[in-house]
Amino acid sequence: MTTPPREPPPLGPPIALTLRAGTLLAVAGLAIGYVVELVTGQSARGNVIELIAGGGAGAFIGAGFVALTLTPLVALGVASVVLLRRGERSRGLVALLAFGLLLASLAAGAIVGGSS
Amino acid sequence: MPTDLLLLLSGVAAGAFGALLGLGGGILIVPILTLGFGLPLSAAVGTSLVSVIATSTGAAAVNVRAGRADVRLGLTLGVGTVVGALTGGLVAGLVPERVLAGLFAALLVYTAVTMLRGLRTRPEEEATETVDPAAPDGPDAPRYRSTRVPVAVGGSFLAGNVSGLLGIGGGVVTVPLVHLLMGAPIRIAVATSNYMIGITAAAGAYTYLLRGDLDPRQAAPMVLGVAGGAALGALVGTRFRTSWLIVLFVIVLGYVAFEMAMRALAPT
Repeated sequence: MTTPPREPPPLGPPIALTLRAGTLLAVAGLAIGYVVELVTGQSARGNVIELIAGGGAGAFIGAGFVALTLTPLVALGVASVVLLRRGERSRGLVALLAFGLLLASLAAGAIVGGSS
Repeated sequence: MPTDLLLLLSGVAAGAFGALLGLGGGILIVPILTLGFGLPLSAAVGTSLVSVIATSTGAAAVNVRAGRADVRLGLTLGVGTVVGALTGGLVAGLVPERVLAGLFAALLVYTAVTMLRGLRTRPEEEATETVDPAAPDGPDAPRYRSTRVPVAVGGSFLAGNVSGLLGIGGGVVTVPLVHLLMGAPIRIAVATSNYMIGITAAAGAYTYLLRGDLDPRQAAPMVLGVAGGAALGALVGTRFRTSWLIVLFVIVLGYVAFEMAMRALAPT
């Protein structure tokens, strides 16, 4: 008896789930940070890393920005994994290339940010 | 506090307009922040890019699941936009603010003209077009075939460059590119562009965020407003006549283009 061929994993739902989760996480972080700031009256300033390191309301706001800006990167990673698992090798490699380039943008931003 | 409230409300307006017209909202956010709130252009561009990510991820989650966005096409063109946005973001720090303001004014005029032309030649029979992401080669495959892919990847580099330089998602370039050049139906072009602009904006946003050009605390109300406005726009979108919205939008764009041009031409 032969087992039926396995269905390839769907592409849309995992990407959609990643995008939705990232958006909700980001909005929650920003909203919570804003409310905490209203309650405590402490206003945090600085770049994202300084905000997170400083704790309190700023940490939530900083984390919200990190979640938001990393969501497209994570979604690209998910897309490349799913496409490769589906056997769409060339499309998967294109997605992987886009993922690598976005990662390089992050590294370039860190280098430029560190030097300025 | 009143400034935060105004930023939030401005974000809601920009997000709603963006969602109703298939744009990221950056085309309005940059002028609002520079002309309305007096922010330096670099801070406005950074804030706008982060806001565009919020608009894109929220809407793309719905569009990708519903099969309206062509993910594979978006990924292919995304390679070009990411490289373009990265170079645009890096170069922006070296370009004088007056030059950026002049470029933005030109972009606004281009957008207004494109929208007015689209108003005259609006396709009608494309509302039911979808792409089934689970079956690219099956019976539910898209009824169009993307053409001129290499040229489009080059065009997407330009879209990314404009995005990184001026803080927009690049939808004003990618929608005509995917629709007119590649032959995708307009709704699929808009949804695919919406998916792409988050990736494009992220590539530019990293530079602005880590270079310290934008103050996250100051940007937070705008980002929250844009996210809320985009959801609101998507919710009420079908109740509005798009043609009236486009006319109103073109008037706003014309005024903002004039203000930006004045800024570019003002004596130092």
